[in-house]
Amino acid sequence: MFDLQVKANRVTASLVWRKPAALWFLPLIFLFIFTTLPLLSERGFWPFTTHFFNGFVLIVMSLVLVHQFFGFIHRMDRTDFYFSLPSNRPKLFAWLNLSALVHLAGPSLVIMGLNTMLARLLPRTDPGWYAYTASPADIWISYAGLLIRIFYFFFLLEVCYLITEKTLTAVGFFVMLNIIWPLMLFSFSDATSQFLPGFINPLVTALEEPSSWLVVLFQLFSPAIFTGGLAHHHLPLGLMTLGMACLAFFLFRARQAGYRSGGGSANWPFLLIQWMGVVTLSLLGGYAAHYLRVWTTDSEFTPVNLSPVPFLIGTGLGFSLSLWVFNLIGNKGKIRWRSLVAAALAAALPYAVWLSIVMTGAGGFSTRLPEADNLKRAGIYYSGAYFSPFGREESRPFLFELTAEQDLALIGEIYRSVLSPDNPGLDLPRTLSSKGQSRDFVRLKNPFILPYGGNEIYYPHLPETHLILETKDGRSCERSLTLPLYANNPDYLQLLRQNDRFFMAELSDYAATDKFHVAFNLEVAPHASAEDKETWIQPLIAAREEDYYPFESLMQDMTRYIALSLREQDDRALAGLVAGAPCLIHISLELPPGSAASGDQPAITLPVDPERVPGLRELIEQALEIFEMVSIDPRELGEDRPVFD
Amino acid sequence: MMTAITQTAPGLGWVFGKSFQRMRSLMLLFSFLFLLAMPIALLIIGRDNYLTLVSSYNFLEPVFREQNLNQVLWPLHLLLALISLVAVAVLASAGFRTFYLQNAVDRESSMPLGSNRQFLGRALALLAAFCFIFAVNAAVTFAVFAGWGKIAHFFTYSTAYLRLFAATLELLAFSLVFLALSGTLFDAVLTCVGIQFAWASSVFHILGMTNRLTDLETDILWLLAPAARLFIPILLPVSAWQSLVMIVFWSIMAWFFYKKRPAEYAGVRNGQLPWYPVLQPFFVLLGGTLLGSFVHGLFAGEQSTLRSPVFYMGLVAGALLGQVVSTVVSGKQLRKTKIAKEILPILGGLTFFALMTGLVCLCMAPAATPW
Repeated sequence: MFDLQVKANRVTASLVWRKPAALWFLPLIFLFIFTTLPLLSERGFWPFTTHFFNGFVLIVMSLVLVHQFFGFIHRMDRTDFYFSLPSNRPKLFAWLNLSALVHLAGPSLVIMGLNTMLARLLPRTDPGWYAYTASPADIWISYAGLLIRIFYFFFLLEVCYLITEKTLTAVGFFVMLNIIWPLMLFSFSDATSQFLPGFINPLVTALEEPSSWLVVLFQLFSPAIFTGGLAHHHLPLGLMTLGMACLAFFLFRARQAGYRSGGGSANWPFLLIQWMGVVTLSLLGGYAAHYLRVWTTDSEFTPVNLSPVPFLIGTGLGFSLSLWVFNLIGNKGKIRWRSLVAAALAAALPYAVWLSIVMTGAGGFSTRLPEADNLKRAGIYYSGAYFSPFGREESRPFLFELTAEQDLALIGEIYRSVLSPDNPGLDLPRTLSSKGQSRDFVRLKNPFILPYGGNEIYYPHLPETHLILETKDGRSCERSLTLPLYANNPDYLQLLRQNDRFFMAELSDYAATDKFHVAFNLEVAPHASAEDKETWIQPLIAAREEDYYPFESLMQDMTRYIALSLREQDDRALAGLVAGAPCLIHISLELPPGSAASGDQPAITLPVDPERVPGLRELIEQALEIFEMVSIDPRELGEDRPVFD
Repeated sequence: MMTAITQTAPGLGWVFGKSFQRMRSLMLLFSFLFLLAMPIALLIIGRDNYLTLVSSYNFLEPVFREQNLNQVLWPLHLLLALISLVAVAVLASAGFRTFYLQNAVDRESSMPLGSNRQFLGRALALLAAFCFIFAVNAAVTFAVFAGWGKIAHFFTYSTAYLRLFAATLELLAFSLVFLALSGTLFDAVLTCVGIQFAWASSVFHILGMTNRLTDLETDILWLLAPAARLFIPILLPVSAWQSLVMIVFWSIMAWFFYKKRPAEYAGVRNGQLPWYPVLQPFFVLLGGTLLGSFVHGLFAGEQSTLRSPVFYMGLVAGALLGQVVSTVVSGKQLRKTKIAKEILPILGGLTFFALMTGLVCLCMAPAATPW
């Protein structure tokens, strides 16, 4: 009896493992050509080719292998054969999956091993190049993330095979799911934020990197889109993969030889895709018609009087077209009115509810912001803070909080000026351009005359500000709005004058260049050492005298970095740092000509002290090197100097 | 009293009717898509916006004038070209769907109908479907322009529209060749797309490496890629006569292959059909030129391509790979084939490369400034 069982297992195993050799050598050759050959020609190419081509091959091979190993499910004769093998279902499932996963990951792992070995053996041809490329350990960590995602992709496709009756249906369902799911998430979250100025689109402006739940939500039905970076989220995605493998196991065990998904009750995979497809295509139809109208209107700014009619027409057309297409697909080229009406109702009702909410302004979502005197705290999220190549903790996005009453009064004035009844973006019914109208309302209210262009009027491109407001009674709200945080706004200038930390936070942001222009002045402290003067202070001052434009760029980078590093310091600590620094940088904001604001120019002095600001020395050294290269006189070029064409 | 019922044998009209009925709902769907892309889009844009836009200057103005288009019609025409491409694939597949089902083929073969009528009936049904789609769209677009008092705009545009119609029919005729040759619908689509891509990509590389690629007007580049002809006339002048000649040529080829097609082809993968090795040199050529150029770029980018030994190593390896991949993808199992049979298409592909390169060098003048 025992011998018989062993023999049976051997038969099953040999059947499962005996597959065409092409499944191994084709991916091996492909990966060798596109990852190993570039590595042999230039070692630094490896990090750039490996994940792209591995991902591509693994996705293609997943499709091929699921069909190779589970394609029998859709053929009655083959299903009878497999299910009558002298092996129980769990063992058969385990053997099939083990063999498929070995075929899937095997060639890729072999090439990864070969490439790692070659990368160690090959000489480095250009040392500077490698400082910015990922190390082999990083590449393997990302590769592990890629494999986890691919395994999830494989098991989800396997589940699609197990719940359908035809290969074409299974692959079609899987492909549609991968396309429609992210499209639905993106289009609805974006449309909501366009209809409701202030609404934070969670898929675009997440507070930090995409959170794990967001990555899980995306990967759930669209594993072909690798979100969240391959080096992160291994654990939640690993758990998802395990869950999907368990689901595949239960479906495999319960699968009948004569299974037909549409035969008995409702064909739910198709109904699910149909519902998602109809609501998404309806919205996309609305997008197409609305923007067709907006973009063909001859206007530099978002038109003020925009009708919601094109959007509604587009929605109606998208709705009809998608229902028609899905009905034709579901009924093999014929229209069935009963199923069409049911599908129309199932999609139209939730869509109409969503549309009525956003078009009516969601009960004042954009306009109901707390009064300034009721504010306890106001936070501004800086997502575009300066990123130093000499990576420090400070180089990350951060939240800056205003708590002083006079500061809160000013910020309240600033955001309440956007909620004016003149703002066309807040008119009802809302349209897909409400957010754009609100943005252009702020831009148009803040014109100034270009300093170098005669009387030419310029409208600044102001970035959106992510506000977090907390009231005295404990309520809080988050909005993302285009605010007049701009150099000709008296409230903004006053805020810069009275709060140095806010000034520093603004200086640290890349968006500062859109908000104001500053003048820099360097001052050598009397106690600066001779060595400091010789090595970096005098070269910096000389740089300014030699060529102002590269100098300004260096000063901007240095200012951003110092402001970012010292933004946590209070006034006293900052004064101490200024007093002890070998060099000082005086920054004063230049008021735009013709601006409404008047009074003193906001100004701040920051310490340039490489000893107290980690990473600053490297930044200055690099900056001086670059400055030397760009400002070199071509007539003085020696043999050893690089030539920049 | 018995009434005699006269039964006439099914003829051309019957095949036409059956085929037309099979694709009727799809034809209506594509008509709707055409209407969405042109007249409905124009109505959404509105008369005032349309007139303002067409009167404003655009840097593509000379191209627009030459191709009978304008700022607004150019993108809409591009959309029509895309929909036409999809329509050819979907409607031709629907029209010939039963051709790949063994039982349907058996039934059709046993009918008192010659293959000439069968082919003609199906082809006419497809032609009628496309005529309907293009005519309905033209009529509604005409109505929109007439309503706006700008009929002249429609007549100017109609030249570009007719060129698109001719290009669509050329692609349709080209597709019919592969539909008639192939054993499965999947293989028909795959081979039709594969040949077009292989040809255009290989010729592009050969013209590039021989310094003959001056611009995209080179006719040889698009000879076996009729899908590109839907889009090329939007930017470059293309002779409509060339399309008409090619429509006739591909239709005769398709009819010839349809007539010679045995009923046993139904459901058999292309790799197992006897004509398939004749096409494989195209894939060998594609693999060879792509890999040759790739390794040349990696290891000897500074040398002239045709004088670089690395290129020829890549060419041979790519040719081998092209042959293997095209064999595997077409459903032929490698272990069941003889090596000698596999080597012939490789040699054919390499000879093809040598011939093409030689002919291009002999017949075309080098570009003064490479494209």
